[in-house]
Amino acid sequence: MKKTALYVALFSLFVVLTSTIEDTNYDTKALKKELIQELKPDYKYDSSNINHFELKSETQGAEIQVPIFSNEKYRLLFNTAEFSSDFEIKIYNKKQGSKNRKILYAVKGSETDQHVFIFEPENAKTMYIEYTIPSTEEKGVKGCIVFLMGYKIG
Amino acid sequence: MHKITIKIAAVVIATSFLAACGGNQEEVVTEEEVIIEEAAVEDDTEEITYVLPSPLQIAELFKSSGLDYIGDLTNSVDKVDNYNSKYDQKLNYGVYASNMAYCIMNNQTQESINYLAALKKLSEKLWMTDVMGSMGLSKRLEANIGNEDSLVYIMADLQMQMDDYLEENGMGYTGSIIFAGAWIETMYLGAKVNEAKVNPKLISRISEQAIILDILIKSIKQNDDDNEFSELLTDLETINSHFTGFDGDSDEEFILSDEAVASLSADLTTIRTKIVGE
Repeated sequence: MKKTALYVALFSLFVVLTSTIEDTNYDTKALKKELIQELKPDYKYDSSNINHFELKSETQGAEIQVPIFSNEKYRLLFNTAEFSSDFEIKIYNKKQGSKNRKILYAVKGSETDQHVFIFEPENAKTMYIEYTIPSTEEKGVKGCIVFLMGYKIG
Repeated sequence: MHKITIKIAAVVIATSFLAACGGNQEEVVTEEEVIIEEAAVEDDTEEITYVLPSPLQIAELFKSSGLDYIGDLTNSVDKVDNYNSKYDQKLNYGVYASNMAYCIMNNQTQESINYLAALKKLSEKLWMTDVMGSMGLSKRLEANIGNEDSLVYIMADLQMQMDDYLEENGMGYTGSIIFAGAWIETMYLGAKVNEAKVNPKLISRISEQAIILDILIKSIKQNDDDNEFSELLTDLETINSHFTGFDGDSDEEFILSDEAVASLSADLTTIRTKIVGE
């Protein structure tokens, strides 16, 4: 009886572990590498961030604040190849609640076949990036959105 | 989630489609192409991620504004064995990375190699050997000695390797502490070079760092559930007190007064000495 319980426990653990591995089985380095190609030849790598999401029946969101310096050139890149569901990426020039906050860039996953998105800001001190993941019935599916930024001085 | 009221939706899209692998097309959009203005946005419950710039970018900005080389300003590599706690090792990894960038950008080849050796030692102590080892950094640096542009690109690669490593190992907070060490050192170098010869361009770049400091403090606080970094946060708040008057939402340029630069320099020196030791 004890042995059976042990086997059941081990099997359950195996199922949980393998399902977790399967759900997050994406190569974030490869996703970044694809974006790095978009920096060449003029931009240097500056920073990056990966947001992992698990689809839910509620709408989800995430915000990233990215500082940039005046009079320099920047390239903001997003890779959504490992995000199978709908998403929205918006970039604002000011934080929430600020006067004169403007959307500088917006893209909706359901309206495009692309998975690499590129934005080059002209003038801003900080970029406020917002991801919105709509509610879905595909609960439990995991994915990620990769953000990467390059800069060019002078 | 956010409820957005769009006041004006005048969207002018001028897209350029680039051919890409696998038939995918990429759309490059620049800021002036999208003009959607919106009113205030409601609520915010989601967590904010603060992305810090690479210390290399800040060093390059300072250099392009006239950060001259003064030999004895950087931290001695002889002190590398003095840093025994993980906290000191992380901060001084940042300090040495900043010193290496400063030397590379000023063609100080031997000094750069010495700092690379110090970084290697600290990365071993921090169990980050993969960061250095996986990219054959030493060989690439040696092969590119004298070529400042290539060396700067190699340093950018090093930053990327480190970000990957910290991300893969769930050590994002370590990146903030390393960045804090690098940022304080770069600010110290900037302030000291400016003391030797007043440079308005450099002062402008130093003033601009107010936004980075604000984000750095928020980033460390977010990862400091155990109050492990309270001393560092106090020091950063001390530096922040010199940036009174800075408004991240304002479109006007913020410039520190001569008095503020002098007092900032004094505090940076004190805090930097605490980090690197006497």
